[in-house]
Amino acid sequence: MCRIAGIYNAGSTNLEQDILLMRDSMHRGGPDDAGIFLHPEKPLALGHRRLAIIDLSAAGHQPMASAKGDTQIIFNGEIYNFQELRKELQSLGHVFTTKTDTEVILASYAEWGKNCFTRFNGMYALAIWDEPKSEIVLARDHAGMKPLYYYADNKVLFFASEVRAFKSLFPRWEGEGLWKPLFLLFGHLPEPFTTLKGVEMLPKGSWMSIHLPTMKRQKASFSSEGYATKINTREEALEAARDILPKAVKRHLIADAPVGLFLSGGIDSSLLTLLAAPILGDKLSTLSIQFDEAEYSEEIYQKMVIDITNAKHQAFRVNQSDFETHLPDILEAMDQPSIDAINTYFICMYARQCGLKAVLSGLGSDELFGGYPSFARFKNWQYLSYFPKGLSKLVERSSNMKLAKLSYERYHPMLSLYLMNRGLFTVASACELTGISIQKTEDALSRVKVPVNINYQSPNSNAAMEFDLYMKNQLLKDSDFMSMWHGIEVRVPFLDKELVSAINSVAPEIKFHSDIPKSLLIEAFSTLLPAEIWYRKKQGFTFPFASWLKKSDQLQPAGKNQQQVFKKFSSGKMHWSRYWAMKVAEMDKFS
Amino acid sequence: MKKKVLFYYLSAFSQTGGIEKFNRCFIKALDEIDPSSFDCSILSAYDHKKDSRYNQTVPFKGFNKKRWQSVLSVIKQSYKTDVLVLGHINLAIAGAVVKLLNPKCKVVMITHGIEVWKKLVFIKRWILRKSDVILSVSNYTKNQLVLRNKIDPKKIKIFPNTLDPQFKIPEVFEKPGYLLERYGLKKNTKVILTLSRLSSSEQEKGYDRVIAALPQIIKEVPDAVYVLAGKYDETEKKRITQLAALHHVSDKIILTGFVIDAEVSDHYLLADVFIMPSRKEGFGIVFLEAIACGAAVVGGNQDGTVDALKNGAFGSLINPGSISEISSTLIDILQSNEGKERKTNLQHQVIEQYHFSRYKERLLNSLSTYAN
Repeated sequence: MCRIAGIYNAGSTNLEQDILLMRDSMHRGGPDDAGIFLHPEKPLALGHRRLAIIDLSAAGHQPMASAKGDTQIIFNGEIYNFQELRKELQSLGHVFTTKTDTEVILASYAEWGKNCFTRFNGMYALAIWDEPKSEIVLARDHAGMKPLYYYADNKVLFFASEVRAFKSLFPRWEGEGLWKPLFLLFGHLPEPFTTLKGVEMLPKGSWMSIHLPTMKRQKASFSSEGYATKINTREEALEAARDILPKAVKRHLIADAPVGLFLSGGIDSSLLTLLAAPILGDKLSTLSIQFDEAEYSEEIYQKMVIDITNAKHQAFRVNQSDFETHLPDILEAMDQPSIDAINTYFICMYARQCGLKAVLSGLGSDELFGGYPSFARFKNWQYLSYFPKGLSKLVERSSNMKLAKLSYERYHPMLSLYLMNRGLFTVASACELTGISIQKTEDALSRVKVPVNINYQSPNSNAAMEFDLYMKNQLLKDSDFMSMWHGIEVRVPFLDKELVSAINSVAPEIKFHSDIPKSLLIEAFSTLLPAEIWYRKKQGFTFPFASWLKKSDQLQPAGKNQQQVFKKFSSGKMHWSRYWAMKVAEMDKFS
Repeated sequence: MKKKVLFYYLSAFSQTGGIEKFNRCFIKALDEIDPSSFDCSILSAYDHKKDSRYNQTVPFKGFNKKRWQSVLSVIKQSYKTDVLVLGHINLAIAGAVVKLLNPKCKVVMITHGIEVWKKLVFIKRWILRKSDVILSVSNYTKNQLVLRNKIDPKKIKIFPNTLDPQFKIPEVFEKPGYLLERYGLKKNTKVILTLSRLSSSEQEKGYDRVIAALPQIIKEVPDAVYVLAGKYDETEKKRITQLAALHHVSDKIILTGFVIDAEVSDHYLLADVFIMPSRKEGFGIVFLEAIACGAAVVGGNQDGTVDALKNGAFGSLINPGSISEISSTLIDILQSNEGKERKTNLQHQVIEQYHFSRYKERLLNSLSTYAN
């Protein structure tokens, strides 16, 4: 896991200095090593900062050249099946000099060209400079776990793991004028939007090649993910989960540096810990966060898992004063605006203190197995599509948010589904608060990337919404920048390629039809999971954030709008996330 | 004042099986509890006489399959009872009436396995919810209770089975000569064993799949035989014989028929490996008996077997439906020649955790908690 950046810019006066600026703006994500590649003739530079987890030796230095020397790679992430690929490539005559997955990617690319991406099971964002073809290839994993932002026109190309790298190169990079209303609607910036004009996220499961110097671009999706039903019986579905999840956990534990697990006490992290226990043995190390507020305590559930697994567990207390102390650093770490991510900031900070380099997280399970309340609501909400679109503008100004949310019905079904579940403000309020016209905001909404080729009546569309619009755009992005800020790699076994593909192919009526959320997962592992852990109100990874926010000296309301919202929020009439979103939206760093 | 405990169960001696084994041990434990702390009595719907090996002192009433009479008797007796322990969910009706008429009487329900792994009829769910405590033999059964019947997990306590105090635990792991002779085996023949009732109406134990795996096993371990021990009905015997012929392993399978109690341990001693790739074990005490006799064990990873084998610490857990996993695991074990030291070590661990004295302790602690 690392940080990468690249530049192709004939107009640059000092390419080396430029790539160092971009690269080192992300130094927190790559504390162990750093390198650059400057093309001898072309205005091309690649930069890399390393967080060493596999093959800790200097052999893992990047940018790395292929055996023939005609390709260069910078790579952020892990290829979990690299050992199998390595063997296959060896049988095809490839010789390896390091134990890294990076070298396996280079050999795969040499052997299979861009088809190599279909073979990788991992989380990654990478760039390969292919000298013979004179093209640079960017690619990103099947689920969008690792970010890769780029700007490309007919003259220049810039790309990096974080948006801050672009800003460090050109502090006056023009801002994306429409980000604020989008953020107030979504609570994050949906793809392809970022806070900077023209800087976009490369879509998940795709590659893009840019020929130099013509700048001709080609794009293709290599992800075969979809929801076509292949598993029609509950028995087969249980079998698939039982078979693949333990293998996925095993794959995600491959490392030469210490790996631990977040243990919240919920279903997902408990299950991962229970599955990791026989693999890690006495090296099983878990950590959690605790609060002064007793109602958030998950200690008894954590203890159940610790007692079974004998994990070395460390619990860290976070309170209002820690929040106040770390708030400036939290905001600094936040690469892109988000209403979430504070929990990840703290747990990763402590993971680092524990000497860990990588941590397994239960992220992805709720999306895959139907853990969110949206899955239970889905069937009834189908009827809302009969709501006359003509009335949607009428209800938009209602002070009753539940009613006002019906106004989302006039947008794309996927956006409407997301916003009905998770939208913070109505379009009209978001525009009013940010001073952007409704017309412009609606144009921006029409550019938001939504899952396509899906039956909107199927509960699978809800899964696709949670997966693509929520998890990918918010949870994965937040996890990435917050964890890398502390030099920690967050690994997500539930997003293992084989597992995602198998579970997405389970008939939705088998997967989601139950009044117990995630019943397929629970049943598949009911020999392992203590019932107390899953048969209770979902708590997950929650923070006593509302009370901290209310009392924070640094986050007092400024201006009339904020005062109004703060008043409602502090009297319990409004969710904290709406006030917090307003505070984040006005931060200088994003303007 | 001494608390009065009444154990009401279906059968312990008039039938054989896992639940009966549990009931016998439960009775034996009540029999050995210090009479100054609890005043125990037992009542059976199916048994008609007591077995003095298990019960010498506790007052017993057997209703010899007259279930309704037994229900009435329990209701009557419940007025003088502090804790009513119900040995099976099928006795729910008695528990329900007692709970209605005499709410002060604490009801403890014992759940074993498959009988509660489904959505139960209203009366059974009701009594489960009204029970003060539910004892579950495994975490798996507990999970099924919650998943299928929405029972609050806090109410369900894990109460695993035990090695029967009458069970003969060998000190030396040696194949008994008389059994080798009876079955025409040599001392070094590799023996795979399953000990189970072979019933045409219940085909969940997985020995079919072991038979299907035999050709592959014999390729790698030519002198292996499969001893299928336990009482069978004629339909099942015919089916097994046909199955064996189909896989060309008729000469590799030995059907022993009913094994008398005195020979059970010896049959385990005969085995190099004990396998039961079942999907429906509530707990699987047979695995622990086999380990106590020095056999390596293989069980399914999808039911209460996982509890009995302590998540794989005591034996191999495999996908019970996979013939290839069955054959590869058995081949590995048969070829590995596991050392005596490891066998003894596992035997000690199993005895330590599942010895009858531990079970008695657990029961006494539980009763003391429930009675107050």
